Amino acid sequence: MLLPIADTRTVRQEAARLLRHHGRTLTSVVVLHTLASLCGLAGPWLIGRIVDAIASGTATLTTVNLVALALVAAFAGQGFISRFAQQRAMVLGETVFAALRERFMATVGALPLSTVERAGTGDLLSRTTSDIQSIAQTVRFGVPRILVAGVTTILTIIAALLTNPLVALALFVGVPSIVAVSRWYLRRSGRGYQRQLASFARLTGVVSETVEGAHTIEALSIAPAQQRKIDAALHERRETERYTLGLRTVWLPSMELSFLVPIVAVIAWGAWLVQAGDATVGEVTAVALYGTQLIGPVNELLGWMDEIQIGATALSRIIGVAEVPPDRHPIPDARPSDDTLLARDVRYAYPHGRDVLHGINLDPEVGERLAIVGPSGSGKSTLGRLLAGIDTPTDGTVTVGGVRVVDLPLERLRTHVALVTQEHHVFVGTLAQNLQLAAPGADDGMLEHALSVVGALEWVRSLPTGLQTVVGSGGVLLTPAQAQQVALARLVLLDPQTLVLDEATSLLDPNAARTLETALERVLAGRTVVAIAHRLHTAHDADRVAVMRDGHIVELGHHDELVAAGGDYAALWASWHSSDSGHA
Amino acid sequence: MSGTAPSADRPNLESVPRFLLWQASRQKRFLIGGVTFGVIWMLCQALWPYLLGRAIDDGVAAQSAEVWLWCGLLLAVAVVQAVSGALRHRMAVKNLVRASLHIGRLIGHHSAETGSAITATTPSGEIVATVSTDALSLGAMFDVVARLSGGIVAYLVVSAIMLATSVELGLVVLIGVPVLGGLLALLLRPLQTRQTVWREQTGLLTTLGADTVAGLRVLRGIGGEDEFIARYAARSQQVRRAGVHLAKLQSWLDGLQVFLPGVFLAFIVWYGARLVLAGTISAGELISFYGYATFLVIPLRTGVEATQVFAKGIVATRRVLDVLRIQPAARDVASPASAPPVGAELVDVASGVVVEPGQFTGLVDANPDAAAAVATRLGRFDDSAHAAAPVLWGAVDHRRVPIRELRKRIVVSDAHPHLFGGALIDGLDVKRARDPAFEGTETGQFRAVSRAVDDAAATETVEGLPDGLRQTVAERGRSFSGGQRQRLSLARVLLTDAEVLVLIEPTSALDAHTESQIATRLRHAREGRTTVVVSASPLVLDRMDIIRVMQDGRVVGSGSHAELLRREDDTGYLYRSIVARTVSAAEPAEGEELDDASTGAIDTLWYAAEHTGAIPVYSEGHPDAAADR
Repeated sequence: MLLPIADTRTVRQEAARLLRHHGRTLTSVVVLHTLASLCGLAGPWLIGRIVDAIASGTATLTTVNLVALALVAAFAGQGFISRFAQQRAMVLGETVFAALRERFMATVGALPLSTVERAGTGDLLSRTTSDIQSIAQTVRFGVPRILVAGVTTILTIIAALLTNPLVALALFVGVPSIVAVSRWYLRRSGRGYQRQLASFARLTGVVSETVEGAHTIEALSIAPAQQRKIDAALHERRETERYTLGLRTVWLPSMELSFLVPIVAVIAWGAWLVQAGDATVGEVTAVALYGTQLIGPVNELLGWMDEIQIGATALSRIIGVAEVPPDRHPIPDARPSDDTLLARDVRYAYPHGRDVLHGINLDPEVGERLAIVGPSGSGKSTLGRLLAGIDTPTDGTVTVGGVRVVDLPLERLRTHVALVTQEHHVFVGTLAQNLQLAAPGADDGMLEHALSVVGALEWVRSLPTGLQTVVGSGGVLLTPAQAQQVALARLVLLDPQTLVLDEATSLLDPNAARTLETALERVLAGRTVVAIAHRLHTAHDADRVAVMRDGHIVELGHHDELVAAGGDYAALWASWHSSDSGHA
Repeated sequence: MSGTAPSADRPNLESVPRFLLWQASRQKRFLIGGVTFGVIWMLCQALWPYLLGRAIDDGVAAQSAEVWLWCGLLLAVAVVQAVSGALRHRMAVKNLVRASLHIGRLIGHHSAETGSAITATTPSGEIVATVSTDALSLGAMFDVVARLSGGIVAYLVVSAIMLATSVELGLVVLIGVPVLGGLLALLLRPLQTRQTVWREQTGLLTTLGADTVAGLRVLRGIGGEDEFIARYAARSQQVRRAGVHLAKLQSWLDGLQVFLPGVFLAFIVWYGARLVLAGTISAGELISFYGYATFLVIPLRTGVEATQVFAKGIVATRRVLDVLRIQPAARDVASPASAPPVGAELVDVASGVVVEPGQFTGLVDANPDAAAAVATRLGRFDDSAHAAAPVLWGAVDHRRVPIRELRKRIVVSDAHPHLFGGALIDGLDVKRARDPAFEGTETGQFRAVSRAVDDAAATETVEGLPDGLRQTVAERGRSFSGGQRQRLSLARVLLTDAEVLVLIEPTSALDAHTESQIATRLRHAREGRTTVVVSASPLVLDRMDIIRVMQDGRVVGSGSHAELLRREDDTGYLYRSIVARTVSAAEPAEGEELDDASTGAIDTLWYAAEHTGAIPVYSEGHPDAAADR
């Protein structure tokens, strides 16, 4: 895996930073919840008062009415205040979550060019979708609920202690077993639930490959094999569920007993204290009821521990993206004097790898078309990436107008040199938005000009809403050839002097190949082109050909010169024209 | 599946209730267990306030030794409560998991058996969602139903206890709790609307994020990343606002969920305290009443939860039924004909394509989809399409042949065959995949698969895997490139040893070098057996015995590749216009020798030149191994 994952310490620091950042809201939430919980604690206290009043014979109808009114008022107060506390807490959760994902996206958008080119998007995609979603629950509900439950627990214990500290001591009987069993449980549950989630993902994977490949399964009659695979995935899912269920079978009753036994202890211990004159019956009643009220919040606190463990894993992957080191330190006011591209004694080695390029010199003239030819593995594509300023040479320099390409700020580099690959992506949005990426603020006239250069204006105009048509997944689906044309139109708008062409595979749609070749030809007109050639005719049509072998340029010159020179290129050319190379 | 009576294995698909009852009958034991332990657990909780009240009345207040008796009873109830609670939870989870996994199994097996019809009307994402989401919603009903019945029993018992103590109080509880439950359930309605809005907004945000990441290379290379980050941020704020909007209502509901049961509780305390004053009940009984009223919040919540779970579960069940009701597009007729003998001729009536036994037939059309359609028809995947375009197999309409027989003897590999996860060798060895009891030795299997892999020019791919043929492949074979997948699928289909093998565009993702390798080896591997290939590649077509040239899906002429290249008639011109493409001045014009000119791929030429010795091979090792790692 190429993208880093943050360590536990960084995750903790980041969580602490977020909490500190929202310190004031957090404080107000805690204060409000404290008030709400205080109201909630009035119930047992009032009941205790009634019991005592009745026991001492001082109770009247008025006392009863007053107590009932007080109870209603207490619940109204609790409901009302907790509403505001809850709202603030939830808004806080939403805000933190929004800030987290926006910051993540900003980091992704600023990832170093070399990382983006090499890492691929799979890992990043799962961080953007599933990891962000899996912390949603924890941040949106977990944080508010933990605050509520925490405050309630602490206040309930304080209330019990205030009622009668001696009686309340019995409430702590359950603490050792809660701590011991929870530690045992939490140490195993995190991994257990992650395995469970993974088995679930596997099941979904098998089902989706079955659905998507249904035609193949039918054609080959291999339904039994696929069904066996589904059954295996289901079995695994059941087994992982069995494991966590086993954990809970120990944990849940232990917790329940750890809550109930202290209440019994309060009664027994309270009875003794009442006899000794150290407590009243009402106090014992109230503390016993407080004990009952503790069950809910403490259970909730422990319940969130699982979620937090899972959330922390996702968070470490989300903030880990920020740990990718920058691959360059651009000089803000670096300005090339002209558009001359020059590679001087360029060497390149992958980290811990052997050299791929051994001192390459190349000086394409402005407006020249230069083809690079060589067997696969000769370093052609690496050289292309260095010329386009995506990777930094280990030694030697690539300059444009006297400035090192990697010293240029990205937005300026793009207007001088651009790497063109077969990869094209149509973004969700209007066609105009898709084109304006390359030239923010370009008006319809400019966009239409770019489209006409690549021969796409006709079909764009025939779309129901023209440039404003929504394309990309969910919108109008463009054919691969149309998508390619959009990509080329972007280049026209970007208007770089030098293009580095790497057509790794043949054009997708053979029927549209000719249209696309023509469109490309028009885009290239008047520009400096370094083409990594994959077909010999590209070399034949170029101004100069550079032949690469094992990281060296071994031949350089016009097609005719090289054919006359009788080297590798000549042999290659000859083999194409004489041979039955089609039949190896 | 209709026409077959529902049984223990065959689900009843008639209606949602019938289907749910059928599923319930499969997990009777767990449902009964869930209800039983649920009732015991709830009763313990209901008993708790009573015992607590008695302990305080007769023990603490009376200062008698009876306190030990009551404490002992409380402890005993606590133990029963803890144990039954755990068992109830186990049953609840088993009910949920059993139901949802069984639904997953039904959908999965059904998808495997139904073929392409499964995605004809429903997008594949929705079918997967029936397993990933709907099955859980469905299972949740079986969980909640057990808890709900426990709650109802406990609620009735508590009401009875209270009725016995005080008729009025008992009636208040008996009526008050359902009314309160209904009120809370009503309040939750608008919340669900806002939750839906939030979920939709979140879905859009996730899509936008995924889209940005998928096009990140373009954004970083061409520009526009700032705008996309701003778009994401704007959308994210929209989600936040939807969340805040939701929080406003949700927090009121949370407040009401405290307030309404609280008023109910206050009423009971008020009424009970008056009864204590009147001397009708004791102080301990008042505490019990307080306890009962607090306890009743639990079944109340379960009731509210149950209405939500059922609303969701029934929608989910409907979706599951919709998928399970999808029928395969090709099904056996009532009185099937016997299959024609080996070596029967195949005729596609609509196009006029004749496939002669033992020959290599190429199908070519200016519109490649039309040629693919003819080839697909040979495999009989959609009976409704054959009404207008029958296929005769040895003079028998091939719709009348039993499907099992037909699939075994005629195998069609479409243009985009899927690979599947699991051990590579098992995925390729189709015969064993069809039937695990298939006879054969380990080494025999290994040898046969290796040979097919070699015929499909995929040996290098397999040798590149750490475990070779025994490698575990990721689902969908997604770790392979498009070209590798195509070659491995070809190996797989060769292993069917089908009497008639139909290949649609088998080399579309491959370079010319590999293409010509495969053309040669395919010829060798299937020599003397009926093989049909749809392709526009001259390298492949050169190896065919006969090529049927079509226009708009109708045969206009036939001949061998060499013949068609030279023929001076319409068929010849049409054929050449399809198989020839010239792009550069360096490529020969129409009419020149196509075999030599069809490719100028440098990788291929270089490879060939090194092999013929035209270019020396450098001593540093194989060039492929060097740089692009």
